[in-house]
Amino acid sequence: MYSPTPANQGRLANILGIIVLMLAMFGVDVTEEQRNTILQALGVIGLIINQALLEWASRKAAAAKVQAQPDNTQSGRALVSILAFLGVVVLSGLLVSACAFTQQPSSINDGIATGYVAIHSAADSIAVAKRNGLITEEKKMELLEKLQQAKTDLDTAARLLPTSPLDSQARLDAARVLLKSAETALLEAQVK
Amino acid sequence: MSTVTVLKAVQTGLAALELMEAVGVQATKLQALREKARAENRDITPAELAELSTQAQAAIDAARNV
Repeated sequence: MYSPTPANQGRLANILGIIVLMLAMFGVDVTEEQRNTILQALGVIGLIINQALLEWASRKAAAAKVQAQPDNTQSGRALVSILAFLGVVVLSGLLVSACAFTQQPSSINDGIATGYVAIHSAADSIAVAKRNGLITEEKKMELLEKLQQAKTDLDTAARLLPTSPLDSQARLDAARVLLKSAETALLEAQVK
Repeated sequence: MSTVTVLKAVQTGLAALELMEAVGVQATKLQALREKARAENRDITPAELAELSTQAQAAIDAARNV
């Protein structure tokens, strides 16, 4: 029986945050509390499905390898199975890589870097959503304003990073406050 | 189920995959940056932060023009 570790549950819960973001883009309003409940509920289920998909794809690919014969039908089936396997692997890789956002930052610099990358990703996602007609121009500009606010906070936090031990604590504290402010702006851009 | 519904579902599915890709690409970049810093036993540098800041601003500006 597959038993997900707490770390993996947390990672997947955050990956599912992307799904919540997509729901938000479809116009479904999700409050912070509802979001957390949904993520907790979906986290374990999603991880088990992900694992099952990988196991299924591995079995299919192995079976296709064994059964592959020189005739076109068998080769075609083998190819489809292998492509399905590769597709699942690539998709899982993407999902797993998305968890980079969810790791606890190891330093203020790491937190700022995470913030910048999250903004970049959110801006790309907003562009995709707009191109596909999932959000209006007005909504797009509203979300981008929030991202811009978050980025301004991060820029200020980056400038505040200590350059000498004498002023380090005050600067770090100020950077932390700005990091929190950027996080709030990012959450607002994602949830609403 | 009408053809239009199916096509819309396919389009939405493709958009969802594109969204996942947008997130995946950036997450991979962050992971690589972290691993490089860890391998060199250091923190992420101000120069790397400046580069990320420039890229994030470019992404915001590009999204404004979509």
